[in-house]
Amino acid sequence: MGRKTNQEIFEKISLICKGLFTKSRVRDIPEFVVPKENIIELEKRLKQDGFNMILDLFGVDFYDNQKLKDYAEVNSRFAIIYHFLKIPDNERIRVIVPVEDGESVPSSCSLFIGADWFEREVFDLFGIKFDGHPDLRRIFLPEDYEGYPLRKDFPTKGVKEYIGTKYTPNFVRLKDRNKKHTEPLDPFEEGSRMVVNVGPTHPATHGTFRMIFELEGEDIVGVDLEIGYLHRGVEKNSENMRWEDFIPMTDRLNYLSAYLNNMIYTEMIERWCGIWDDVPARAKFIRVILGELSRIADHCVSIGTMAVDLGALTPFWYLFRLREEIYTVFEWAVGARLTTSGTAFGGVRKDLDEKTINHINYIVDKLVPEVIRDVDGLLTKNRIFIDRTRGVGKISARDAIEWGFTGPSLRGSGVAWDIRKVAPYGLYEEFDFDVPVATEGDVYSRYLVRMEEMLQSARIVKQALKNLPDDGIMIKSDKFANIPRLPEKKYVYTQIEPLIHHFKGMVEGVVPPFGWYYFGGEAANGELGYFAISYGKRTPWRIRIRPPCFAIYQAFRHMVLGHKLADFVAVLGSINVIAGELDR
Amino acid sequence: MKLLKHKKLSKKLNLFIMLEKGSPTEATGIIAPPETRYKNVERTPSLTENLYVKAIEGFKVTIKNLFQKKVTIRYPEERKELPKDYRGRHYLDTEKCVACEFCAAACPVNIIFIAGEPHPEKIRHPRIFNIDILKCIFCGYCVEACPTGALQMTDVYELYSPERFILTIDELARKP
Amino acid sequence: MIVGTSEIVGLIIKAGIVLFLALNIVPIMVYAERKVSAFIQRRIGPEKIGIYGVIQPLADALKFILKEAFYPPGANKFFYYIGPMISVLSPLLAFMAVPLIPILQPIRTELSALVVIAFSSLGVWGLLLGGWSSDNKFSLLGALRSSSQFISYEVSLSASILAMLIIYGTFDFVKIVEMQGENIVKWGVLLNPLAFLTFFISALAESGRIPFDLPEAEAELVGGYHTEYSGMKFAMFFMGEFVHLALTSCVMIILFFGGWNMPFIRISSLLPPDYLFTPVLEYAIGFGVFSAKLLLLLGIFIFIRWTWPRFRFDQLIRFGWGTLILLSLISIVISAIIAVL
Repeated sequence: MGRKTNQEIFEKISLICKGLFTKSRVRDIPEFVVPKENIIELEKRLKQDGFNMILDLFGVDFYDNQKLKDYAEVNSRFAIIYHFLKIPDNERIRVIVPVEDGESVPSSCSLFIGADWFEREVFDLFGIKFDGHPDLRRIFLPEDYEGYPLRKDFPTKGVKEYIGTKYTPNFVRLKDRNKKHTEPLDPFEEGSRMVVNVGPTHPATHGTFRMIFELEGEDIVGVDLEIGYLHRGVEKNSENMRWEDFIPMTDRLNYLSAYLNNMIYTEMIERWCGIWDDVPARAKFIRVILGELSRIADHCVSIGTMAVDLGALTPFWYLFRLREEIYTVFEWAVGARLTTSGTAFGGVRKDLDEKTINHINYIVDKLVPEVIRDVDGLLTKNRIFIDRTRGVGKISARDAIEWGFTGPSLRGSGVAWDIRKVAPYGLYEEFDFDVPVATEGDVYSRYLVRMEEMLQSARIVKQALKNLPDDGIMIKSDKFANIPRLPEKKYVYTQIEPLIHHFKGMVEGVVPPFGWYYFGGEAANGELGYFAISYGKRTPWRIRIRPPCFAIYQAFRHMVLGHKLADFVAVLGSINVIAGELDR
Repeated sequence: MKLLKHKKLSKKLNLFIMLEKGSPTEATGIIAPPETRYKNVERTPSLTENLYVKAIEGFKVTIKNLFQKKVTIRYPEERKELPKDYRGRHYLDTEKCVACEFCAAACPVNIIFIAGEPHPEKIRHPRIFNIDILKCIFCGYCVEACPTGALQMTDVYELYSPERFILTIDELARKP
Repeated sequence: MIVGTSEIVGLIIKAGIVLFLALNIVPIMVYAERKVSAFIQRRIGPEKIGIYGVIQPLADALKFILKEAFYPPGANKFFYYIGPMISVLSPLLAFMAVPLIPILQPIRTELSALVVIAFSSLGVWGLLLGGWSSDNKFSLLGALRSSSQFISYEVSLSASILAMLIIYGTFDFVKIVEMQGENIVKWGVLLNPLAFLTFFISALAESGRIPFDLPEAEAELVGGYHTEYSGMKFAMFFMGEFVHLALTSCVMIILFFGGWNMPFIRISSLLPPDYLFTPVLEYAIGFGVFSAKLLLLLGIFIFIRWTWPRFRFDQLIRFGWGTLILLSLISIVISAIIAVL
């Protein structure tokens, strides 16, 4: 049974949703332009067909760019773009809903609960309202903030200076847990409840975000999450940057595995520009090696901090020792520890030398198994740890998919979903590895999955090191004018042609073809996707980042409800929320 | 010992120890895309684990590690060896610099400020060359952009300073 | 009862010595904990102050003393100050009835076991008052946790002490130790291993250490009952915890490990019988044996702390009331059988 091609999916959906869309075409994935009145009906039909996840939902402001509007085949100023995904068949479609300023769109929350925060984000940053959304508040910015930052007419410095933070909690309550969504409730309706504020500075919030719990005794009966403390406007910033300059920005999304972010972004541009096949194999191998190492480092932090929160302090040190060794590799292989920016369009920026390769060999052959064995001995079979994690933060496979889970958290719920397998990118097709799955969907399952995934990553690195080719680290071909190959320094200042090349490369940079493109890869937390719109200039029109833990963290409310106060730390540790990625 | 492995008895013993068992392992099917080879890592605790016996095995790990080599680096006295092209503090070779402002253009966070002046040999020479090190993200793009190789990055990572955060041309030109 | 001046002076001297020893456990424990945890985690640990960092605890103490005496604005000042004092005083008072060697027992009474239980149970008041008075929700939760935890485990602790008292037939610690003698078979740990197990677990819980450190679970409750404490007041809580740990370890040694008796060898048989300093030497060796046992036990406590995670609150209470009390009651039955035999 082969995978359906885009054309097949397109024909199928066209048939199913006949009459609901106005325009349709196949680009990187099938696209449908749907008037906003029809979106709910379309979603119903898609759901019947088996589409079970809103992978991403975001807005685009075309402003006055007629060319882009023509490209999107819409006539309005805004468009809301939905990415629907079908697990496990990996069928993806894009739905574009044109919206004018001041108009509102029907909310998808009743059909796909995972749309909850994504719609709030669109409301926050574009000012587009969603009818029927149960909890339409601003999500990153304070309630009384003026203006909608991702609109093109929003000044970069803000409408006016804003100091302070205003936030009104809206709790999700235990009694509403089984309902899909909640009506806003009075936070103090029962006097017996204790409201406990956790964060933004609290030992358990590894990052800056805030949780407000309502407690009855030690039971969590109500919860509200406030995020946005680390909102830096990465997407807005990207609009004033060259395409290359966005690579360092991707470091700062999930800063625990920055290299994976670089790798996915770079590969997206390379595939978009059509030069992917010309990228030398060595560069691709190096990307896989360093990417998998940073995945190990990410899981180290995730498991380690979770163990610390559960009171086991020693595994943390063993795991951080491994992480430190991996960072030593990064020092030598990239030149930086945390914010790697290690890739460049067309290859990688620095080659691996003999010493580094030996060190990587030592890590994957000896250190990873040793550390995993130690941590395993301390935690996996320990009854206390099992009691703390078994049955805590449980989420079923169906719910997890509906909330938009990807990555280890989804695999912990019994869905063997890994982009490296279902839609192999990079060179992952060539490596032999298994996708770890655990079926219970609780903290312990996610822990087991992460532990196994570290071993699998080490396995990939081992294979890659064994077959490391030797054909350069940067793209060689001259036929791609839009990828500047910076000439060697010694020629630049002495010969005219390299100087011109250098000048052109520096000033113009990479310009992907007019239009848009989506590419997602398996980051340490799940599917990290980039959706970018190019309008033929050296800066992007818009770069949208699909953050994996944004979708996961919104389900956190429902995962901790009914558990004890002490359980939220375990759940939080197991889904590995990274504020940089969450808030962008 | 065979008796202990009996499921019912083990269940009863669990009941006695805890009065409440952790969640029962229901046989939930694994949803997997076609052609994906997966590995089920789910496990059910054995009886010895439930009786806290396996928890004592943790001491094996801690005692083993007690006698292992220490991995700490005594930082100010000992230092990690870093590659020469580590992305640390900048170094500017003023002899080579032609004040072309490529680095300033390439900088994603716009922290490089250059003012050039005429120079008899190389036409232009930097009069002012400031890098706001507090805002620097150490991506190394300025180094890549430099056509003459004048701007480099060094393995100096200790960038503490009591009050000054803008490196001037004199400080940049100092050899590490 | 007429008490002579010499007796009062003797009492004061003895009390002073015990106080000195008990309080000195704290820096030793602080240093040992830091160093052992560092070695377990393959770090170096304190090494800058003194040789191998041995006077690090002194530096810590100095830091505590020099810190600003701060109290939160909403706090009940009286209870806020008195809480840490209670928590450090109660185990110290209980120490007065613990014979490290026969003559070193300031409160010489036949009911020493009762005195120890009575005084050491008072410690929870300090945590409760401190946590309640500091006007912080995390502190309050920690205080509530601590009170219910300590009271729950008090039951099984007392029950397992009771089990041993049934075997020995006396409340007097000195007599208990003398009954155990150097013959290891007669030691409490072999007479009633179940009682030892329950006592050990309860002692761990009573001193509030991992895996039972829920009152101060820093992950969810920031610092638990001492969230709002700093400086010397925090140090008092800290000292209280360590002294309490030392106290329960001492009681454990007395009840289960033959006190100051050396295993297999009678101390007096090592010394010439008619030498002038024989009694002094005997006491000195006895004290050394006791200390060695104490350090070993404390080492085990440290190892447990750095190996295991902590329980959840409901699991802890369920474990305490469901399993541990049951086991300690069974141990009483076993003791009764042994006593009858």
